[in-house]
Amino acid sequence: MNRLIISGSIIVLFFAGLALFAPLLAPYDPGMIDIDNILTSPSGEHLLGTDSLGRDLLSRMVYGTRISLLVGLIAVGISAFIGVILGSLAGYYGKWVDALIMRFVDVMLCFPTFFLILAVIALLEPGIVNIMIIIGVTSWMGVARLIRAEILSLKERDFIYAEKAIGASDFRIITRHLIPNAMGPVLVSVTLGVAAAILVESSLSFLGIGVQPPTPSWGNILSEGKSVMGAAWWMLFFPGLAIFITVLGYNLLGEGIRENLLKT
Amino acid sequence: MIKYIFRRLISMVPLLFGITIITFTVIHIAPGKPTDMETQFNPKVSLEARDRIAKLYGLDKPLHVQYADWLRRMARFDFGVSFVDSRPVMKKISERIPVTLGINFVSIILILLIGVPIGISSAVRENTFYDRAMTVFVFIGFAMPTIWLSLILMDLVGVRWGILPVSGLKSLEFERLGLLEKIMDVSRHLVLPVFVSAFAGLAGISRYMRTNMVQVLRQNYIRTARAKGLSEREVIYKHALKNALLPIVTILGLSVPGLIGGSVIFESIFSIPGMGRLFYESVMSRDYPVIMGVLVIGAVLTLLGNLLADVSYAAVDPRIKLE
Amino acid sequence: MLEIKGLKVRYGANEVVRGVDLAIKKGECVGLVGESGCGKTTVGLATTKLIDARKGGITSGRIFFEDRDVLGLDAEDLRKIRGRRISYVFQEPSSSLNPVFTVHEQLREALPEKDRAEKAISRILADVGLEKIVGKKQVYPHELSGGMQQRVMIAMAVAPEPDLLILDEPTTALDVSVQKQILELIAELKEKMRLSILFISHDLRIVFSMADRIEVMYAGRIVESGLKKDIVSEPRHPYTKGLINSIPSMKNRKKKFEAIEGKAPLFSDLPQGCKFHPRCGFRIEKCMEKEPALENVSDSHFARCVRAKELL
Repeated sequence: MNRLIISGSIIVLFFAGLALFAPLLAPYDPGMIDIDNILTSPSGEHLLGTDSLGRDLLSRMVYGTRISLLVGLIAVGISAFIGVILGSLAGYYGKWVDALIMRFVDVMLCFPTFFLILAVIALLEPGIVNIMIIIGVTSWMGVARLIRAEILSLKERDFIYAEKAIGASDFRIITRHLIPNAMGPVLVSVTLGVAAAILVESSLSFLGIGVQPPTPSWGNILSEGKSVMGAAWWMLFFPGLAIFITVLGYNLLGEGIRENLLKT
Repeated sequence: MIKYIFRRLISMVPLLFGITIITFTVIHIAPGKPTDMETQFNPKVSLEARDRIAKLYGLDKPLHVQYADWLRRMARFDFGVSFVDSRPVMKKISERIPVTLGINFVSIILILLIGVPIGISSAVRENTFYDRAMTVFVFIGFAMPTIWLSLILMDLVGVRWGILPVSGLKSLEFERLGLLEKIMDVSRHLVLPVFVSAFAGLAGISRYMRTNMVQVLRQNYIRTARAKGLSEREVIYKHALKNALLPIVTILGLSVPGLIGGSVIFESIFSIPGMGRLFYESVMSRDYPVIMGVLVIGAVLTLLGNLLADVSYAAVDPRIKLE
Repeated sequence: MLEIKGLKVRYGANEVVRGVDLAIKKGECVGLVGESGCGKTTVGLATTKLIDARKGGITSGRIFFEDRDVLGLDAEDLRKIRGRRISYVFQEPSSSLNPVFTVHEQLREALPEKDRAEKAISRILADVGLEKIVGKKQVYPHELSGGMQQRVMIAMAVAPEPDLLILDEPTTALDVSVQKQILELIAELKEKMRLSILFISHDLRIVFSMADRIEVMYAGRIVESGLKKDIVSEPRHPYTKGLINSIPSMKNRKKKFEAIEGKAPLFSDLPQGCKFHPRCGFRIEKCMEKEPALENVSDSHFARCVRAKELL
C-alpha cells in the first residue's frame, strides 16, 4: 500500500458513502422548493446555501453524488466489458479477427471522443441511461488494447499450453486463465476511466445535454451556477470542487495501483 | 521523404473508409429515423424539412445505395446544407475552423513552452521538494474540470475584477478600433480560453516529459557523455534533452482529438465562434448535416495531426529510415 | 600514477565495494577480474566519481591521480580529468553511444575544446580503422555493427590522448571473432600511445593476454593480487584457482574443466568470515570466524586467505 492508494481510497470511499447514504445525510429534500430562501449564502441552516429556487445546495449535491458516481461507474463498466471482450478476442485468435478489431479501434480513436458523444446524443434523448451507454461505447479502446497486449504475451506461456493439452475450450482458457491474469493494467485503466467518465458526464450535464434537471447532478448545478454568476459564488464553487476532488481521488487511486503493479 | 509522406497518406485510406462507416452508422443508430426525431423534437422543422432530410440521406433507398451515395458525397466534402440557415455545411465549418485551430495552436505552443521545462527540471531534480511540488501540480491539472476552471476564472477575472472580457472574440466597438487596438482586443478576449485549453494539456506534457527525461538520464550514453568530461549542462541540455524531446512530437499528434473535442466546452462557455461552438449549437438544434460534417472533419483533422506527427518524427529521429 | 586506498561504495543499503586498494603505475596494464556483480565496474566508475548519485555513492576511501585527491575535486576540475586524462570504454557499445547524434559529433566532443579540427577526427578514425566506413559521412551509431560501435567508443576514449584508459568489459557484448580484433586494436593502441590501462573483465583469459598485473575481486574486495606470471603459475586463493580451472584452455582440454560451485553471495546477505568459504573446497573451521586480511605471499604477491601459504 502506498500513499497514493491510501489518499485516493479515502476520497473514493468518502464520496461512495455520500452516494450510498444520501437519504440519511441530506438535510433537506433535494427537490423542495422554498421561494422565501432563494440564493441564500451558506449559513447554519443551509450549510452550502440555496439555489435560485431556494433548494438546499448541500442536499442537491449529496444526491448529485449518486448520479455522478452511478454514471461514472456504469459507463466504465460498459467500456471495460466491451474492451475486455474485443481485446481478448483480438489477442487470442489473432490473424484476421485481430486485424479487424484493431483497425476498428484505430478508426474509433480518430474521432475526438467528445464529438462522437455529442453526435450520438443529438440522435438519442439525453438522459442518465443514454449517457452511461454513450460514454461506455465511446471509451473502450484503451482497455481493448491493454487486454490484447497482455494476452499476446500470456498465451505463449506454459500453463496455457498445459490447459490446451488437457483439452480445455477456448472459452475456458480465455475466461479462466487469460483475462484474470491480464486484470492488473485493466484495473488501473478502469480506475482512471471512472475519473474521465465523471468529467465527461459533468461536462455534458453542464452543457444541458446530459442529466436533465430537476434530477440533480454536479454538472447541471454548475450550469445553473453559471446563470447566476456574480450573485451566488457557492453555486459555482461547491459542485466544481466536488467534481475536482472525486476525479482527483480516482486518479490518485489509479496511479497508486499502477505504481504497485510496477513494483511487483 | 515525399515517398514516405505518400505512403503514410495511402495507409490513411482504410481509416478514412472506417470513419465514413462509423458516421453512417451513427445516423442510422437512432431508434426511428432521423426524420421522425426531427419533427418530434424540433417543432421549427417543417414537413418540407423532413422531406429534405429524407432526400439528403436517401432514406427511401436500400442501405447499400444510401452508403454509396454518402461515400460519394464525403469524397467531395459535400455534407449538404444546414437545416437552420440553409447554408452549405462545408462553408459553415470552414468559417469556424481557423478560430479553433488558432486557439489550439497557441495553447500547444504554451503547453510546450511551460510543460517541457517543468518536466525537465523535475526529472533533473528527481525526488526533491521541487519535484514533489510539481507532481502535486500535475495531479491538480489532471483532475481540474475544464468547466469549473473556466467558470471560476470568468467569475473572478471577468465579473468581479473586470480585468478581461469573458465572452466572444471581439468587443462591441471593434470596428472603430485601430489595427493595433484590434489585435489587443482579440488577444484580451483570447487570454482566458487559451489559458483554460492549455491548462489540462500542461499537466500531461510535464508528466510525460519528466518520465521521459528520468528514463533517458539512466541510459548508458549519458554515463558516456559524463565520462567524456562534458559539463552537466551539455550532458542534460544536449545529450539527454534531444532524446527526451523526440517522442513529444508523437504525443502532440495524439493529443489533437482531445484538444479539438475539448474546444466544444471552452468555446461554448466563452462564446467563441469556433468549430466546437458550431458543433454544440448544431447538437442543440439537431442540425444533422452540420453534426455529421463536423464529426467527419474532426476525424480528418485528427488523421492529419497524426500524419504530421509521424512525418515530423521521421524527420527528427535519425533511427527512422525513410526509404 | 593512480592510487586507490580503502575505497568503499554503497548502493542503497548494500556496501558493494568494501575497502579496495589498487594502484596503477605509468605504462602499466592492470587487470581487475571477478564474477559479474563483485563490484569491479563500480571501482572503475568511482575512479572519476562517475557513480550515479541516484543509486549510491562513495562512503569512504581516497583516490589519488598523479598525487591529486580526486574525491576532493570540484565538478569543474573533475571534468578536466574525466575524458581528458582518464577515459573509459564501456561494455555495451550499442547503448553507450547516443543514438541521436552522429558518430562525428560524438567524437568531436571527446576532443579538448581547442583541438576539435576535422583533421584530428580523421586521424583518430584512421587509428581505429574506421576511416573508410565513417569517413566524412553523417553516420549514426545504429548504422554501425557492434564491433564498429566499440571502435567508435575506443576512438572517443583515446582521442584526447589520456594517461589512463579504463576498459570495462570492452569485448563482452561482442561476437568472438570481433572480440579478437578489438583486443588487437587495444593492444596496438596501448603500444603506440603508451597508455596505462585498467582492464576490467570477468574473463581471465582476456585479461591474461593483456595485463602486467592482476587483481582478483570477490564480493567487494580484492582477494588476490600479483604479477601475471605469479597468478597464472601459482594462484594462492582458492577462488583464483577456481577461475583458472574454469578456463577451457588447450592445455587442460582433456581434463574436465570445472566451474566454481555455487553462486556468488548477495551483498544484502554476505556470509560470516571469509566471504568465499561457502563455495570453497579448502575451507577449515577458522574460515568461518573472521574475514582474513590481504597478506604477503611474496614481495609482490598478496592473498586474502588463511591457508594462502600452504596452498600451492
